[in-house]
Amino acid sequence: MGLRNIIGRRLGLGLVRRRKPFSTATCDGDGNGNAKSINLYSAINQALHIALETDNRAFVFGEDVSFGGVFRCTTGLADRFGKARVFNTPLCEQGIVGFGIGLAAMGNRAIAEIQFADYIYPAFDQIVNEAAKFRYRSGNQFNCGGLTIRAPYGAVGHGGHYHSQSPEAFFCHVPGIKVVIPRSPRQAKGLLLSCIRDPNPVVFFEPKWLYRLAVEEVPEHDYMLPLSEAEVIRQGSDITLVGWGAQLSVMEQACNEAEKDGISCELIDLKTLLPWDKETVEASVRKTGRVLISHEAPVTGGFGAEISASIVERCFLRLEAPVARVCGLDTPFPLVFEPFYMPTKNKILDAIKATVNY
Amino acid sequence: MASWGRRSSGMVHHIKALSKVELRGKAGEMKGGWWRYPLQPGVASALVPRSWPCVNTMASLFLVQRFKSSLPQKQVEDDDDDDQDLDFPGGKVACTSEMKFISGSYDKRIPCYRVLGDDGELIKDGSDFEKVNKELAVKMYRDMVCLQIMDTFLYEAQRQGRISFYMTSFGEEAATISSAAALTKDDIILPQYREQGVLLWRGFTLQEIVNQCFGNKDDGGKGRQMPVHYGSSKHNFVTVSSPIATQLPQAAGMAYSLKMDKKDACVVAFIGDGGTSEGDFHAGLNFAAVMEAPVIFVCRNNGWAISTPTSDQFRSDGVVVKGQAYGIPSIRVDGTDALAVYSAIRAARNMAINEQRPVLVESLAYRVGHHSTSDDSTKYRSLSEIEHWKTGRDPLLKAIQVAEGTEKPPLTELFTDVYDLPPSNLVEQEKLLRQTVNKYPHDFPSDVSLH
Repeated sequence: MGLRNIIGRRLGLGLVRRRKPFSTATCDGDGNGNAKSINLYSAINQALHIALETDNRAFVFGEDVSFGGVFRCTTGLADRFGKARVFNTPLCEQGIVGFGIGLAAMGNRAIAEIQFADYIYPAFDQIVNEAAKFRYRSGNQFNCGGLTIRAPYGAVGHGGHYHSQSPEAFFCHVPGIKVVIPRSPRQAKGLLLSCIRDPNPVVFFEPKWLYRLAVEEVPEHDYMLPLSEAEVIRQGSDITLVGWGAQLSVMEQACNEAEKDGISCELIDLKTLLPWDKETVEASVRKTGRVLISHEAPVTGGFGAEISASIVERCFLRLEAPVARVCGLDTPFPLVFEPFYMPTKNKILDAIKATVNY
Repeated sequence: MASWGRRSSGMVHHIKALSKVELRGKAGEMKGGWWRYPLQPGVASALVPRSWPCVNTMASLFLVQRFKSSLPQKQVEDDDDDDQDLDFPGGKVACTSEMKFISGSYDKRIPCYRVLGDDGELIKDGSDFEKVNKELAVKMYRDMVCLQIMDTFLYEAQRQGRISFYMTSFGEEAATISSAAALTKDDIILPQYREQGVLLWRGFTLQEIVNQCFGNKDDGGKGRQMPVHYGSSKHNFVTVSSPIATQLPQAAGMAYSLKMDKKDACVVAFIGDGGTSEGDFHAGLNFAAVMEAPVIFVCRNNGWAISTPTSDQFRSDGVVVKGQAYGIPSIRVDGTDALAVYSAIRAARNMAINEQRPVLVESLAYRVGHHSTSDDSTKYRSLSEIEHWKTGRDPLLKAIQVAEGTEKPPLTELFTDVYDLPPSNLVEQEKLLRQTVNKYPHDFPSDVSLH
């Protein structure tokens, strides 16, 4: 209980946000309107309510969404919008996504839920071969841009192989879809609304560990946060850290500790992994000369590899040290060994120091 | 679960009768250590013997809880279950004490709906079909001929290296064109890849088809895909994609949208026999059934998935029987019979739209051509088999065969109709000629009878 509050408070106050003009947002989530302190699943729930209330051709469907969902993200939707718009589907991920593609191809907003990212693979064919290519292969005669696929991802402390995976890297390799991962409740609401309204199919991974643990002031009104714009959430000058989702809070703790040793860390939330904001990361690396990427997914072939290759390509002569990656081990996500597997604060801290002292 | 509870409570009675068992309120083992008691006191107890599949106490606790949530309608009075009904999630089920497995297949195969006989004439005994007017019939025929000729040309074009790839629909022309004829232009087509007949019917021009095959700048798909991957939003024909069966769950989603709009239209999704083995077939049919979506699933069973015959594809009675597993009404139809296909699809469409539900149509039409230009089917099937099906129900080739095998007119006809009646010179000439023919038979063709 105590730990929950601490983590909650840390995320609420510890995230320093640099003001930045947003290209498409109606508002950046600050300022106007009432804001209430809510957790991640409630923020997502709010986004879904708004999505359905502002577009009567929006639908929410997936396994168990009708009663509110196994993580309560879809609470109240069926009661409010009716069974025709919010409904359970059979237990079949390829069916859920295929059905969603069809619905979206008819101009609807199809918001599909995959119960755990670990179970998204049966739908991989529909996502890669169908959704991602729907517009391109038809010469833009057809598209399924109204499709958004939501899935809880990431470590939860006791999830093991099949309730902890971070499969984002598989999807970042697919031209035609977008991949978005929020770090907090306020981010989640604005990003999810952008994803739903984006005219491209999007996969939205929600850090399940933060569903209850992360609590933040979230404006109650309808607002959107831009996609493909990374955010510098902590300014620094010695090293750039890049991450997304739940891992950012771990990275932030490492940054705080590094600061005590006089290392000034700049922390970037990528937010959209595909297409990702290379410019913001590059600008930061040009400033610091060092970069460290951290993600829960196994290190080999993880999305950190793409960021690393791209930064080296663009900033080779500016780099003072090799690009560091602090990631999950190359093993299936273990149960009792989870604490060993994870890219912990101290692993990150050690890597920060090694990079700075290179 | 409920039935286990029932059985167990029947056993309670039985055991009580056998031994003086006291049902205790807390976990414990009976003397002799054979039985375990459930942990929950006060709930309808279920004694679970060690030999029961669900052995440990926690599981039996679970059993008990589940049992509680679906209480029986009446108490078990005796061990005879025959009059029992099981009120189970999903609906009431009658119980029986006869242990009987449903067979894997019916005694007889599902018959194939057909209106025209092998001779092209209506089968007698009052065929049940929807009549087409002359205009429609002529268009169907013309489009089938056009399709066959177009396929021939484009196949040749590939062989000449002018296009990279092609797939013909020889033998299946009626299946696609008659289906298209039975639909309206508002019905949305989700093809597999062998339904160019539907496109032709709807007015997609030969030029547009060929543009797609060449992938030139006038290709609606902008040159991105291989030949035969056509699509046209104008004609409500969704672009072809190579992966098999992916269109089926999409069909359910599109049809659901039509349902929301209360449109007088349905989705028609095509699939081959091979495609029914894909997971997406199961996903598509199940979703369409649960969502009560107006989709017609048309399976073109042409006997082959490239080189794989249907005997290697499934062990069911073809595809038509699979519909029932999803609660979907289904029919098997002769895919070479234009009138039968037309009637079946019309009926299916009415059912799909008026009842807002999916329908499955299995069309049987042998794949006369190769799978594609990348395939030489003589490598896995005999020429005689191909010939049999090529001429079997193909009216033109059949007519040629029949004509070829038919005798010429008799010799008498050489001399008739010169005049209204033969004059004496012709009567004499015929007599002389017949003598010559008898003397030198090898000088004369044998297929002219001498009668």
